[in-house]
Amino acid sequence: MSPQQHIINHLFEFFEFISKKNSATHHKEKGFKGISHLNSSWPNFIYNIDLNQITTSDLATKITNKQLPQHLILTAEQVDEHENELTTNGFTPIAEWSCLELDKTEFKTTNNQQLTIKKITSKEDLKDWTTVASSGFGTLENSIFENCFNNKSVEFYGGYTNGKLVATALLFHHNNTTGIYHVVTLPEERGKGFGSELFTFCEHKALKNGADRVIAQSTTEGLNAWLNTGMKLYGNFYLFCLNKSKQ
Amino acid sequence: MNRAQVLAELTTLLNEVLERTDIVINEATTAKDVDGWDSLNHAIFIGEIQKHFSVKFALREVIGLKQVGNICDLVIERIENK
Repeated sequence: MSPQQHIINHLFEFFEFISKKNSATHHKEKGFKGISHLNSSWPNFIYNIDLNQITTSDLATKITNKQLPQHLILTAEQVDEHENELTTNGFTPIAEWSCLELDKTEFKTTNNQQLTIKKITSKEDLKDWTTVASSGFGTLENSIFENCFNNKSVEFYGGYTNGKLVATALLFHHNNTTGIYHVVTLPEERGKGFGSELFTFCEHKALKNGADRVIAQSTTEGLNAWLNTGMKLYGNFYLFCLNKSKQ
Repeated sequence: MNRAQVLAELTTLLNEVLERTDIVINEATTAKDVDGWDSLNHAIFIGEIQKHFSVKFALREVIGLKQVGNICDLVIERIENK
């Protein structure tokens, strides 16, 4: 399996873990899987899509009929191969993400120690964590994370300055790979290196925990910062939304 | 069509998509600056722009449309190259 596929699969495992803890609806049909949460905007995705087994037209029909969530995840290769069908059926890309894996030979610990980094251990602190994470990803439901709290597969971390939570991160451990998710810095605190400091801490923590591989996904905005911590780029994937469903 | 006209028409289209009348945008505006401009409405807005101006965007071009100014650039480029 390519590093890119491994990184994307880890994300899918993360979605499935979250959804199992939150009684979400799982869709599994030939050519795709999907997750729908009734009371949360995240995670709601169609994923693991094989466009040789399901057409974009069929996906569009199912979405329009509200049988599936609005968003789907496709690799850059799938987008290139199926661009015409995606366009014809009303799919619009709304976000681009990069697949990253830590190159252990390039990993360096940081001298930047502006933050006090703490593991989130109380539900009260988790509420603050969710509020800060929401500032980067749109509103996230606290209950989604509360239902995963105290599970050995997930660790929540917060970066504090002057006692204020300014940055968040989540580690998800699966099959000897640790994924670094939900790395967010409060908008007014960005540009100070807090995100990189917390991200580097998480890389270090994952290796210390014994992870064979450390992976992440990044938006275009965060990419350079994560590459500077020793991450290596393994291609992109895209989030699409159907634009016909409101018509 | 000049840049100011494109911006004015984008403003009208965005107000229609979000079913509002009070949105004022400029070249630096992003989705985060406008209440209700979420991913679904962004997809609809991009579709409406292509219909309205009778232009086509490649999928990878759409990803680069972070600010209204980027949309203006692409619309003008497509109109000029028709």
